[in-house]
Amino acid sequence: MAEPAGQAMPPSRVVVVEDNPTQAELARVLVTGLGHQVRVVGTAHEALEAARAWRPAAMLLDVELPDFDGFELLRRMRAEAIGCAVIVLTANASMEAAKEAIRAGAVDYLVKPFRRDRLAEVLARALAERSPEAEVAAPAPEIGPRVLVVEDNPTQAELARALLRRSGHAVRVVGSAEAALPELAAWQPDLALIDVGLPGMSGIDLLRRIAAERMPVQVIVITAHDTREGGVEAIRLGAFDYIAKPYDAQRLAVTVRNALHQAARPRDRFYSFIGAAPAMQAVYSTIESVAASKASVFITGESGTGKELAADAVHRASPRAQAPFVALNCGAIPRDLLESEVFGHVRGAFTGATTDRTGAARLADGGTLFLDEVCEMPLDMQVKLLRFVQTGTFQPVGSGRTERVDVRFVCATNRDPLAEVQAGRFREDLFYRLYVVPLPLPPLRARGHDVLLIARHFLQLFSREERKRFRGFERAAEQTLLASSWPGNVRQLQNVVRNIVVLHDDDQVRLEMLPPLGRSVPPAPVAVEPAPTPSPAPVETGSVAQVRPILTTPVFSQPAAYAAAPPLVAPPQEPEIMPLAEMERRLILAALRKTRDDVPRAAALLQINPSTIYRKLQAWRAEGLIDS
Amino acid sequence: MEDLPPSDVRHVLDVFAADLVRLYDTLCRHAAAEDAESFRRTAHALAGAAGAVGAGELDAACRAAMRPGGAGLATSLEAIAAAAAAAEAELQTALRRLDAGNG
Repeated sequence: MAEPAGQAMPPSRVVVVEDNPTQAELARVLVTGLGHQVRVVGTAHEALEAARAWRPAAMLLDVELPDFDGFELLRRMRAEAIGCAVIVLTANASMEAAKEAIRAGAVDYLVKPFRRDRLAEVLARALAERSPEAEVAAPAPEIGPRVLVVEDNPTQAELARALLRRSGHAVRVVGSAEAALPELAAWQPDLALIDVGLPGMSGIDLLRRIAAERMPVQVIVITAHDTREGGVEAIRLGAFDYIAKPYDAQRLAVTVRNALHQAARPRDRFYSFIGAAPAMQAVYSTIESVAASKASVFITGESGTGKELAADAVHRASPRAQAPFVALNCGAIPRDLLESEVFGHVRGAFTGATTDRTGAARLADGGTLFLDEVCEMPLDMQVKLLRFVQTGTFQPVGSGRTERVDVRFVCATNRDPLAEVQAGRFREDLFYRLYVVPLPLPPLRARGHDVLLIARHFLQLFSREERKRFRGFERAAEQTLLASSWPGNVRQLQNVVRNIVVLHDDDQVRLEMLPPLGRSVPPAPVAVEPAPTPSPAPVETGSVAQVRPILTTPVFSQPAAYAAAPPLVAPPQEPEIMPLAEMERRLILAALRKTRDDVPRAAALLQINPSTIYRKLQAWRAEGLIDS
Repeated sequence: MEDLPPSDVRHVLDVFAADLVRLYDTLCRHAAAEDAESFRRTAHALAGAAGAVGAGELDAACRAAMRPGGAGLATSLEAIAAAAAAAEAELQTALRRLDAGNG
């Protein structure tokens, strides 16, 4: 007889194969109590996989399993030379089955229900009698990218395993989405090959979990024969690709190789962003990390770095993606109207309020409220915003009724927010409420070859719009683009490319087609006027340590008359009478000034085509009306 | 399958042989119980297994059984049985070839 009750036995790995949850849990408790490590699985398929990957010393095996029976499992383990001592678990009525199992290679059997001492005795004997080569061993070393196959059909699972191993991958197979989740967490495969039609949780639901928990694994989905059902949805949910059954070895190999290749490559697109620079990878990661939370995000960065794109990405990556994204530019709205824009108003609240108006806060309920240029918000409005951020409640202008909404705040500024706090222009308490997750965007000059990625994108886009032939940039033109400091960042690059496309037509952009690009060294520091309240056209600042303008060299030079152009917001009662062409020029230049040389936005304000502005500017330069 | 070494082919065919017996038995039980939904699900699983190893006739018979408004369970089972027998015979031939080292 074996030694009693597991005494003096070294701890071993034991797999319990039992589809009845109560009996499985009982066995787990008993075997754990004997000092062994235990894994419990519910199917023969999972048992085989555990035997291969975990190399247990012993297995407690219920013969009747939902996928294939214990005899078949024993036969397969023997075929693969898995040296695991199998003890068959059987009911009284199945003694014949137990004997058959022993003939098939099991070392012993236990009749259910069994007692702890009987289990200890049988298990100790089984472990003692194991052949030396089957001693508890570390799992076989796994070389190559890891692929987890999630497939309930044993033939298909084994075929996938064989094909993937042949390609040099480390492979594990599980038969259900439920079994895949712990493997994904513990083994951290590079790729998961997921059958859509799994029992229990479907392959699509598993993919949703992977996406929701941001598991770092590429996914290829296997769809049913001759159908794309599930495949398209899978890709929408983030799968790399899908393959329809039955697939051949080459199709599988190519798709797996591409998926793994893409996983290893830095992303060059992320929502509306284009860029593969390391600094942008950090931006993408931060957005992905914070998206699921409700935490406020505070985006900083120079003008033209894509703050609104970042806010949009935070929203689209979040669970609020189907709810509204409401953007409000605090610097562009007259201060008297800002409260009404944010909170809405009721009829009669002020002169001109002839009807009730819903504000951005209500419109963004359930979604995201993006407050751009938040540092331009007047101090009295900051108090009201603080209350809203703290409580989620607000009162529309002129209303005594308090409303509650569920809003996620994303804010942005091109100023240094801490410097604004120190200067007394931005409330400290509001700053700390909003500055929960800082998201700094790098300037274009710090993004290396992203300049060319973005320039090529715009060239393609504008060429299509303008029906031009451009297909790329000449080498010398690319070198010049790379050498520029881009003080206006992506917006400046966008303007430059649009300018080229509007004014020229060729196969390649040549060096001489480039407009003046500004300085190739950082601009010199310039003091900022310490204004107690923000001006309608805000002065842009850099860092706390070094206050400097961002746009020292605009894309388009401005004539002397530019500074004297009448303000757009408050035009004189009686406009000066002048030739219409002169009025047009003044208006266009004023619009450019207001939008900080953003030609598309200026064009939108004037309700004209951006090409018109480029052509006018070229003509005025030629006539000497503005600097070249 | 032809890209795999004989030992892997043998293993996959062994698994398919076991699947074939198990799934066919299950189909018989569902047909006897006139459980059309379970019959359809099992036919789907057998079609997948057959398709993976290139047993086209069995794959097609199972898919025909899955079609809504198709033949009754008994007729479908009969067609699957004939295709399964042919697949089994083909499988045994392939296994013998592999054993003989001609695979």
